[in-house]
Amino acid sequence: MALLTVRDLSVTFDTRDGLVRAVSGVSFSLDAGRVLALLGESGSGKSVTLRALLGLHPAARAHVSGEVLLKGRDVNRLDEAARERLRGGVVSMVFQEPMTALDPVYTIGEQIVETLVQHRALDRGRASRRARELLDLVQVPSPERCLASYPHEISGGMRQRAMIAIALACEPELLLADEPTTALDVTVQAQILWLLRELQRRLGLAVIFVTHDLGVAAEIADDAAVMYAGRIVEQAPIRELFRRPAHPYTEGLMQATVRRGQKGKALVPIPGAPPNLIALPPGCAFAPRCGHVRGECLTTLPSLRSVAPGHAAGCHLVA
Amino acid sequence: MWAYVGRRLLLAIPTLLGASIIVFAMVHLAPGDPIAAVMPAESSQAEIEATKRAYGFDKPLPVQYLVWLGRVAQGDLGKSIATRRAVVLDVRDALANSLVLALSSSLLAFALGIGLGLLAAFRQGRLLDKAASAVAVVGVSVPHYWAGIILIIVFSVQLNWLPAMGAADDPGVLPYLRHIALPTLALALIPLGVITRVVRSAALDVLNQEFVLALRAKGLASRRVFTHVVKNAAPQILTVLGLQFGFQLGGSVLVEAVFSWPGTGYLLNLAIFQRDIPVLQGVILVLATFFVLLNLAVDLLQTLVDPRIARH
Repeated sequence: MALLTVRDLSVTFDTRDGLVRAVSGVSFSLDAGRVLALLGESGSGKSVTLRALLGLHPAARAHVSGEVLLKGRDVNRLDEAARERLRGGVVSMVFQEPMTALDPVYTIGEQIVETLVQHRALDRGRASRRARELLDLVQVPSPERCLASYPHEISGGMRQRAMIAIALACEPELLLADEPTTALDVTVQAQILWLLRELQRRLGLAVIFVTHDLGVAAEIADDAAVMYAGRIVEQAPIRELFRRPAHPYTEGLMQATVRRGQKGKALVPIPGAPPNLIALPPGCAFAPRCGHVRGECLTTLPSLRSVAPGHAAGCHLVA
Repeated sequence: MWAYVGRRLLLAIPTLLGASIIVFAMVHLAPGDPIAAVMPAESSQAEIEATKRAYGFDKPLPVQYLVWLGRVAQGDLGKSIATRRAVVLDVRDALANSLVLALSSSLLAFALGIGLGLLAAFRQGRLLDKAASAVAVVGVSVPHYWAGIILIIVFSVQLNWLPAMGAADDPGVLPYLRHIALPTLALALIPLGVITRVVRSAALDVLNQEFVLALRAKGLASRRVFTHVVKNAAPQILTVLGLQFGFQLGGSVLVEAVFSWPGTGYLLNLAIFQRDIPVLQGVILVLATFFVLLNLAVDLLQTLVDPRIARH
């Protein structure tokens, strides 16, 4: 059985301007120990999908439908106490900007310890020892000092390591990483990426890695799902995706990214802008920006069709 | 930490000196001649001059200031022109009464305001939030002396439950509480409104930050998340509490006048109408000192709560 199965997940937000369809009909599954890259530009629904996996959208403002089966249990049908046990215990999350995702008035030590106390009911002494071990695990050079520091007192890279330590505190099986390297310096990005890959292999973690950076995805992922306007438009093993992108949007993303052999050639941007999620077109959401657009693209929503085994794309051009 | 406290105390000295100059100058800028107010209309020029000399009004202003400051430093605020009692004694008694009233009304306003504000923030947009906002608007908008008069009409005149004015003459806790109840209520209205609004917006600011989502994402129980939010909002709330307590002490003139509560406000009111300059100076100076020390205490408390506020 897959560790995580998502079926027909939709998230809509009721705003003053209308219904925002942030995520529509997303389905995928993830086996234990595998790494899935969720690709797409800002506003494509990547982060909203991640939060829905944890049941973090407030019921008052968001409407979530579909199934999120984590080890066979539907996150959206659990009561809050059961969800609190899942979060941090079975699945945890690393955020993009550790400066804003860590509580500024608690020390790193306190923030790791409270997670352990919550899930493992450890006493303070044992929890502190475990916190030290965790900082060793994420390769913080002087763990004692880091434990006693407030988030603003340590560097961005150390903060992200501390964030990862918190996420891994209770040995989750699934790690959700929401652009964990985007807010960091380039040199630190590489270190954090390397650390995540190493931890993933050593601990046998399943990871969903949200990024808009194809290079980062290629480094870390086994599989990839490309999102556009709240839908998954292409799904494939990562090498297959790079070798044979089937959706014009995926192709466009690759044309717009610096890659090997790029020197001397201009990058090709995708023309236009992503659609307004309040007023989505009836057909393919990418059609207005697509160079291969045909009549049916404007009227009918394409379903995901198989391109090759394990490779599917939501495009009318794929026959 | 202690070096920081010491430095902040040193910094308070120029503030206090500035306040003393303003207090001294203000009184001399005010229209009306204090000597004329106390001397009988038919007194001779010589008698007036003698009184002026006795009170030191014949010397140049800077000299008058230094002489006054020297006495103040020794705890001598002079004698009341109207009653000839030492001002220190009057101010001391009045300050005690005002402090009790400020404390009781602050306690009421802080407890209710913080509670309502937090409830409103955590129930944002729901009925309770709207009710709390209504309470806040009423609290801030209703003039407290008017509210005082209404309270007297309802609880003293019509229902005859509570006394309308003064502090208790007979000893005992119950008569004291009965006398202080209505002024406390009237004086608590404005800070209740202000604190409810500030606490609500401070808590909402924190709730909208990403780390609250991160706390929930790591499975922290909502009770613990609440603690995090309160601790983050605390510095902002503390500032307002300190300021409001200061206002309670200095801003109770009208309420003390309505209820004839023998506090600093009442004394100030009396001194203004009698042009009793030494009393006026004494009361304002003591209140200003109190305000400065209060702000200092709040600042120090904030550094204890929020590590980002520098301690060096």
